[in-house]
Amino acid sequence: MMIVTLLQQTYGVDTPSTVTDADILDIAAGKPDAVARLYEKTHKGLYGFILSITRNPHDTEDALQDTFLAVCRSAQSYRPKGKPMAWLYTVAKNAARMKLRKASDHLSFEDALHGDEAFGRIENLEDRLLLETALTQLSEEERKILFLRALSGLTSREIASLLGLPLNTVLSKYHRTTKKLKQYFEKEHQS
Amino acid sequence: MTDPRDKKIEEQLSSAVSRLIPEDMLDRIEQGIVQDQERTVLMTNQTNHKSKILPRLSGILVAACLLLAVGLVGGRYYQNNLAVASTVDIDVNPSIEISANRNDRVVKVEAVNGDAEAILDGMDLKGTDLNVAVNAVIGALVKQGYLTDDAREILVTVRHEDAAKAQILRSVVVSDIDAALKASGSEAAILNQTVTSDDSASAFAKEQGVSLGKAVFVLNLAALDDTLDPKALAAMSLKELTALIRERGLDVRHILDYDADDSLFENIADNIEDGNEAAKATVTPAEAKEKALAAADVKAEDAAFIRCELDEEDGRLYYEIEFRAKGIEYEYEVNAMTGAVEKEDTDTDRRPAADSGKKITADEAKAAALAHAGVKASDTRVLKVSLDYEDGVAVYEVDFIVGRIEYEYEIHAASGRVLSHEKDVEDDLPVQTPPADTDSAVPNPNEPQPERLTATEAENAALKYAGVKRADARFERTELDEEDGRTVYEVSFRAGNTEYEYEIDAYSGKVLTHEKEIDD
Repeated sequence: MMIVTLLQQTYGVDTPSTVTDADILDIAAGKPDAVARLYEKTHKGLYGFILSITRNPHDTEDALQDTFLAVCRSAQSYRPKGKPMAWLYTVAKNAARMKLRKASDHLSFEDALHGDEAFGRIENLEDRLLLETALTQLSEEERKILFLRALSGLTSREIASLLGLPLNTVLSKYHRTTKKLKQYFEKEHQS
Repeated sequence: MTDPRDKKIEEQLSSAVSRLIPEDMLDRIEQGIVQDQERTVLMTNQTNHKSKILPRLSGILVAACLLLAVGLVGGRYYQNNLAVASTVDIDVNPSIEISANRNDRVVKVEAVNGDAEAILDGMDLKGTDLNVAVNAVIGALVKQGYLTDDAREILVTVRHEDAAKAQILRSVVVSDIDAALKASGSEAAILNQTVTSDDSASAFAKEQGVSLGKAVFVLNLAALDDTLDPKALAAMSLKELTALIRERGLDVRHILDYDADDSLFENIADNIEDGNEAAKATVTPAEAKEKALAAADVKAEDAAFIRCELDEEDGRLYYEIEFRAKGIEYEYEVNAMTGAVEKEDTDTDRRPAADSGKKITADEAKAAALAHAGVKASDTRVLKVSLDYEDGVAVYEVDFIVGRIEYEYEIHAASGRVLSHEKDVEDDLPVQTPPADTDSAVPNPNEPQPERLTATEAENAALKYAGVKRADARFERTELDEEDGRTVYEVSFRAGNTEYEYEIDAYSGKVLTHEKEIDD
């Protein structure tokens, strides 16, 4: 908590616009644009989180769609507890897992990586290489932590509670993961 | 965390993922939602829906009615749409049976007992999607106070003529319930099973006024322990049944399924395992907690327990206890047979029992670091001041940035002494030069530099610590690194299904951090 407070004091609020209970209640009330607003605030983080589990853009898109569908269906019974992000990510996690369970027939990961036109949309080769490296070289847990840190706007503490890990583990794993990526790239540069 | 290169990785990742997300993603999502709502509105025939999509729907409604008429005449409709293909039983104490057709549309919702009638009161779920009905039932259960703190078990039974489809449906339903429970703020554990229809179980269910799901469950239970009377079991609530399973140490794993990978819910597998092991443990969880608190020198009222789990490793039965007190997280292993507090194998920064001494404040630690760096507070962007325990010593970690330089300090919390300091110049290019050639590490000039260990020596130190023979270890990484101004070897290896990670002081060979992770 202290970390968050300090960050906000010194930088001003830099975290992506946060989701509040009101966003979910707006969806439950069927307010126009409520879904679009929630999407704007969350899609990148959710997409990244799902991708870190499925490692496949196609499944990720499906699971992201399922996530929003589930959110709309459950919004009515959503009980405001001030933790909508935790809820959203749990829904997303379930959607991603469902996708993996059902997708016994989908392409192998390597096929998806090379054949998927989605990756072609990343014009910056360095960015693309980094993403592919993260998808191929990191463990799922490392990937989840890194992607959540980079994309979700969740604090390390929230990430820890979402993943069911001690805070220390999240911090040290994050550190090690970025180090691993840096080392990997240094090696690539050399060879 | 404060490394600008980490920031760059995050930015690159962010930009890559942004590109990956299709531009029409939101449109697709919104379309999906509209279709879903149309289906729901259509099937429930609720004319009081004031949604904008109604006018567009009337056409479809007419079409649907026509279809209905044709279908009824055709007879095929009956087969496809009214024939029960699957049943979902939901048991808490209320027992509810939801029957659905092949297309997962609800054909019938039945209250099996009196409690269930109160739950279903006024709900007309016929014709809705199965998941809508399941959601509604769960919502009503939570609203009426079930699935709260003291009754957190729910039995979900899925029946389907096709076993493979039953499995798929089960995972879908469980996942839906999971989401519905989460949405309602309930942390109930979902016990679930798939069953095939069974005449004797059906008769028993009818006779006892329970759902078929619960009937199968209690009959199976009674088969495990012949002192149990199935009729008495049928009359028990799920909460009472789980308590009994725990008490008797019944291994219900082959009659129940559970989502073992969902750490967010109290997992029934853990309950059962705890139950089995609890039978052998002579130390109660409460006693184990006391031991851990005593070892940490923390008062019970200050501690918030995160975990107290009975675990078994190589025949050693122990409680894994985690709690937080005054912002510090503690992890202990307490032997479940002897009550002895045993050494914990992770690199948790644990506060030692002896440490109750005075500490400087976080502000003082910050000031000490700034003074040492010769920087004014106003010039810094303070990223982090945190209290940590390293090898049992309370240490403030102070990280801040001035201009393009990033500082990392460790301040001894008892004395305010600077234990280590590091500065790093922001550089977007991958740095290949070893830190010794840059100004990042400031070696202590008073300390003569002894001979550095070889990688093999570092590995040996790690192996010795782990108690693993070299022949059994598969080394994954042994690298020289700079950590908080110290030169360390990072050593990681696997032995069996365990992954070990060590940081070894490159000069003294001392184990600085150790971590082990067991794959399951």
